[in-house]
Amino acid sequence: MPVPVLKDEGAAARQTSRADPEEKQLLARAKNGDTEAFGKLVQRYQRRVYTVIYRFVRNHTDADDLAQDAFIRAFKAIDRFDLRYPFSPWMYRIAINLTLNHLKKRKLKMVDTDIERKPSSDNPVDALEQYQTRRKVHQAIAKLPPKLRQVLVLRVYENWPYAQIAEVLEIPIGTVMSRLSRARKALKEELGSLL
Amino acid sequence: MNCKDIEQLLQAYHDGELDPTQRREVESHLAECPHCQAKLAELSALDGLLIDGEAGKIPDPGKHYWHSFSDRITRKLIHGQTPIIRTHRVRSLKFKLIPILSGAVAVFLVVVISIPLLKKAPTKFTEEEVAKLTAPPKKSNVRFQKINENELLETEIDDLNLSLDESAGGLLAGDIKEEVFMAPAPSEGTGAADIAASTGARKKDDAPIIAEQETAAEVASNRSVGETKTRDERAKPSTAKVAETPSGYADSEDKTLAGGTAAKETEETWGFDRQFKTKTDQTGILRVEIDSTGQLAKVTVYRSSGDTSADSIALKNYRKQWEGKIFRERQRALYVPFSQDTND
Repeated sequence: MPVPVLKDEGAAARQTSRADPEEKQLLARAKNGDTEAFGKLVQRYQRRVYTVIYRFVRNHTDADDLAQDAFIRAFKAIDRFDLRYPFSPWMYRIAINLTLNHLKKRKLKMVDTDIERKPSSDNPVDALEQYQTRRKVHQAIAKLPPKLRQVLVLRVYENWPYAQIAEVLEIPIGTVMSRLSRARKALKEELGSLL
Repeated sequence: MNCKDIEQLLQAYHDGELDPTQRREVESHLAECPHCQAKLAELSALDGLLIDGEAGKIPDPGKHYWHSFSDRITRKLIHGQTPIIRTHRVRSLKFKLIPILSGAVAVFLVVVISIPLLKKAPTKFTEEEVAKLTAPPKKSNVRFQKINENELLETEIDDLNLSLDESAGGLLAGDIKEEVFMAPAPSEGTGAADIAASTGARKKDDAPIIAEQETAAEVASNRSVGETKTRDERAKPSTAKVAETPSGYADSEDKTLAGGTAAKETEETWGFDRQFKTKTDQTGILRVEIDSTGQLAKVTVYRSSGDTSADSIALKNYRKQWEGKIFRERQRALYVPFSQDTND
């Protein structure tokens, strides 16, 4: 049984850790309590962090609250951040953990308010079909266990390489692959009629 | 490598994660193996469905949002606020006192102003005034239509945004935001041609969406015989108008249809039957919008029947039957219940 050999597994990690002198400076200043420097870091990552959170919560209000909270927590914990490592995986880890905890506490499974948003098609039959497909997909993803869901969301929607997912979630790449495979298998069974 | 080996690599190949050597091996196998090609196609189709199902991109909150995002965070950091899922803000004492003080001032003013008024107020009511005040409320002049229980499909009053005044045995006119009609789903023999008033089929039994009028004599006879006529007795009447506001649909056109019976205007023969209140999960409601020219503007699923394919079929059927026809109603929204059985 062949084991998949991945293309230069360290590439993605190295890419994220590639030293950006300006970012390092901002991080160093932020570590000294400089909120302005941290604000500039926020500007760099705000869209990416918001997007990842949104993928899980599927509504703007929660995504906004959680994104702000994630950055504030990052700032408060920045003393513990090691400048030798890249900032983005650390930041994503805070955001994703916060989001999953939020969903767990609220006993929510990806509350999708956008599912009700106006369909793009003017044809009511198409619009209904579009709505139904969207709802089925949403329900199928929401049914996945959180560990499978997070890997799937980061791979399929955020298009992250396996190595980056492994780094952010602090799991081996093999685990990323097996979780992804299980998630896809479950979705195939659930959504088979739409394929 | 055989198919089983390739399947182990297929996901990583699909995700573009395989190293070049294994990628070439997979590609050469795929070129000759329809089975593995199908497996790969399944993976692509699934990802495509997931991305389509998510309706593509995430809605952008807008430039202003992004522009102010970091400022909001730095402000919170400076002021030491923790925003975690907004609950309430801690207000300073100054702000807490404002509503209390303004409330106290308001009470004081009310007392001061009302003292002279109270002095002038009569201590006793006259008999006439007492009679006026204690008289039962006037009957509303809302005209309600009798409903043949066989004509109604099972649905729930709450879902139609109507309020039921149990004591008056009818609907409160003030609560009706728009005219609501109910008609059973079209079936063979009572199709779109019957719906269109413009076709000349103005006999009440032929027009499912047209308000059905009863003469006072009919009402009286119904009462004497029993509660309602059966479907068979009434030669397939296919609609029931639920209620209307006084300023609404009670126009001359109706009177013509009904033979101009003025007595009807005040006739309240409405009665909710048991069936109407019974909720059935399998009952859906379509919202049919009629434009100012009387043509069908839009049909949407107002409430799902619980079976998405049944919803879809109902939507298609209704559009097919009603499109191109002229309705007597203008600029109205009609709510039409349907069930999974209707679609069969």
